[in-house]
Amino acid sequence: MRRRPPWYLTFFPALVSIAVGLPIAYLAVRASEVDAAMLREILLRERNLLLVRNTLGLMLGVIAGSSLLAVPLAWLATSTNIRGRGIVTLLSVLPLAIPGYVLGYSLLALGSPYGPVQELFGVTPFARATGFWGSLVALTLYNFPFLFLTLRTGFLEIDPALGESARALGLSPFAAFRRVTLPQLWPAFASGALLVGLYVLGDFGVVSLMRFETFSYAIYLQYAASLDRAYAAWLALGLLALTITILAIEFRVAGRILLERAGKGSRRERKLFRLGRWAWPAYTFVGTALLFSLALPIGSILFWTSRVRDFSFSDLLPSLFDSLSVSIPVALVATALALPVALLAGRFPSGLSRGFERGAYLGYAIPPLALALGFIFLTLKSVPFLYQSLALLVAALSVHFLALALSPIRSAVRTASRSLEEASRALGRGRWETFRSVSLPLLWPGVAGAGLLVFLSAMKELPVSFLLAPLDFQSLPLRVYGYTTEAMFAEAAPYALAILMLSSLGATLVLRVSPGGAR
Amino acid sequence: MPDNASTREPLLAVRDLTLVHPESNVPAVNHVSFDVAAGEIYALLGPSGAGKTTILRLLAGFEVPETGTVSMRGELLSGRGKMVPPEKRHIGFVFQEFALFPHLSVEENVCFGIRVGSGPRAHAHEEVKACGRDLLERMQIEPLSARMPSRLSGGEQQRVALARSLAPRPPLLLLDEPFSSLDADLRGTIRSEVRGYLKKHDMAAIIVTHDQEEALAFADRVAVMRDGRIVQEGPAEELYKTPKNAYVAHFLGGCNVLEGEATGDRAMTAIGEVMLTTEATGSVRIALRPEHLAIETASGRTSDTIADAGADTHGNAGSEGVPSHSLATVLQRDFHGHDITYRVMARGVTLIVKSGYDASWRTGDTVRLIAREKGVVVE
Repeated sequence: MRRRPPWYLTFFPALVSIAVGLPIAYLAVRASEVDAAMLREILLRERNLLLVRNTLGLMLGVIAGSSLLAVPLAWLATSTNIRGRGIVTLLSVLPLAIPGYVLGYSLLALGSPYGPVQELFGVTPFARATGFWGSLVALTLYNFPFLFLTLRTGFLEIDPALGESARALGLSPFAAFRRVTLPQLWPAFASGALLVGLYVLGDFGVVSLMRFETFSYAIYLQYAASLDRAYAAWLALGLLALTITILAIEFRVAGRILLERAGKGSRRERKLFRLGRWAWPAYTFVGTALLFSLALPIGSILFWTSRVRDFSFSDLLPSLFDSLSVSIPVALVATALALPVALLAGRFPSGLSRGFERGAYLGYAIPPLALALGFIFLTLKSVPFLYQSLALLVAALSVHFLALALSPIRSAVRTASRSLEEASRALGRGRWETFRSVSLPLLWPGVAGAGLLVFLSAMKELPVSFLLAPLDFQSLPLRVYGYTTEAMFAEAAPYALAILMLSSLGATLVLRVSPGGAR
Repeated sequence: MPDNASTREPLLAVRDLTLVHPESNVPAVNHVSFDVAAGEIYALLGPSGAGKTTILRLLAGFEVPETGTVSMRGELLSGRGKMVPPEKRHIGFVFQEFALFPHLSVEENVCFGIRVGSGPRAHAHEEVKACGRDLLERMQIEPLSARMPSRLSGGEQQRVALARSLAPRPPLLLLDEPFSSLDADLRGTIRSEVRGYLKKHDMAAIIVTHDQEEALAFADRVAVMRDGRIVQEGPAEELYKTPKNAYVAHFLGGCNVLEGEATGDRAMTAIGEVMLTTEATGSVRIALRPEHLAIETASGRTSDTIADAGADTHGNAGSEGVPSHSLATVLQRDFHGHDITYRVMARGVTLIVKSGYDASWRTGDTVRLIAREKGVVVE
């Protein structure tokens, strides 16, 4: 029997969709405020082609690079008898704890004059920004864990009985793998690649540190340096179009958008591939991957931290306070708004509720610079007194990170089903009693996990903060970014280390939230 | 209040209850009325989609009826703009999908609804635990009391759900397919335990099921439903013996429906003359249960009669001795252990006959069918 949702379960999700839609609309409004001649000049710039080529090239490169690392690692960690599979898994997810711009910083700092490489070997391999290759390495090292996680789930979800029945139907082991196992892995790969691709499209920290001209970097240059806002708006729209195209392709190909991962690991004991004499090459591969993704960046940060003079913990406090003053409200607001969206989608499934959910996901999928630019145009046009205020930054980040809160809350809502509430009511407990003793205990872990996830993500967020921050606002990420652009690696080190420690917490959390994480 | 009056007045009165599916606009429950007396067990029997579960949800207060009323002990619960919340109705509910609280142990689930005194902490009371233990024992799940629901099998979860709803001893308990996940062995035991508990504590119950055997064995009174309406209701045996129409007759176990020509208290059919429960004239449909038919060996000269039975016409019906059209052929014999089911063809009509375990007729035998009970004229 279908019922009408209460007004607040429609009102707040609608509000979220509007909050995502308005900045995009204002982006279009601002872009349309150019005359025809100017428009022709903007659209026909040769540089546009270069931007498209660079952006797509980097995206495909990072997806390819991430696959080279993630596919073997996921297979080793789930399907072979390699020793310490738990540790391999943990170490393959841990690079998520090093945000892209921190990786960019650590790579630049590694090879810079007076850096660790010069100290050890007496050479300066790359003195400064290295364009495509630097961006590729930094983004690959940061992104491959996303692909690893979805592939790991994919491998774990494959029912071993299917491979066995394929063998029983007369297929060779290789044919069974190709015709049965691989097709089942495809959705996991596609959703992982989508995550990576979207991240690369939106990335601003790495490409600007490496000075590689992608859309994001061009937007930043236009906005920050030449102050050509109409062109910045057009670039943001171009980036948005690219994003939506990729979402549409993904939607066609994989038939579903990831982000909402469902499913359970198979109950049956999986038969593991015996590595035998391939064990040592496997260990070497794992070791090399982790050397580059973890040991080098962390070593670089620690090296530069050791070079810091006259710095005490209390010097970190103003930045830490700035970061907290945004991250805590963002965690609260995003979680509070995600709850009605998840409740509506879970309890009152309809075209409308799915639409609202997609709206929330869109806020996360669209490139952060485009979102932030939209918010700037929106405030300048309609509420100028909010421009460069903390409130605006909180609002924009809440809209951006709401989708992160959605997944854990959705699964909690699934657990706290309506029939449980009805059972409690039929056993004589009132509405409030039922909420307190049944719904709340079941929802709470999901809600708390969602809040923590958003909090940690907001703590290390760079691009939106970069565009929307109040004038004297200096959060930890802004410090790292600012010092790195000035090549002040020692000054940046303590802030990078602080972010590293905070987001290690986040990586372990992601591992626990992801299915089969306890194993 | 005098005792007689209170037993006369029904515990639950349902009048003209209707609820329309919002998507399809088809009434899920269509002007349904019935009463349940205190301590009585009432069954709603019907195929899936007949509206049984929706009726339970309307009674429990989970759904708001479009028309009609639900009242208990004369107090209006639903309808005429009134809607008493579920927790104030004192009506228990056993969910088909169990709805066990995943964050509570088996014992905590079972004791969830029991209150001694008041206040949220009351359920930690020793007396409560004793009551819970008693029910866990009756449902044969006592060793599982510390387990979490996710670690139970379907049958175990169903027994926890039963124990949880029985524990507070509500005056009325609604059971939605409450034994469906139990295997055959356990089902009988648990069914009689639940029935005994209900009767012992004078609790009324409404059970929803699509299993006619369960309805007949468990309930005092049965209502057969179809498309959101109650087709017929009455004491289990009465309904079984005198179904109102072919639908009810079929639903309450296998049934043969024969065409016949009635003349007063008897009718002529394919198997010969059949006595009727009610007088009728003209063309009628007559219901006869498989166990109400008996097979007899056709007498000596029947073999000749058989020879021309195929080419026979109505001409010699009612002639002396055995009317030729009462002769029949055994088509199929299914041995079930405790009984044997025969499919027998009589003048082009196939009938189901239940015989004792020792019946020895074989496929192809020529036999005679006798109605041991009066046939019921159905619509």
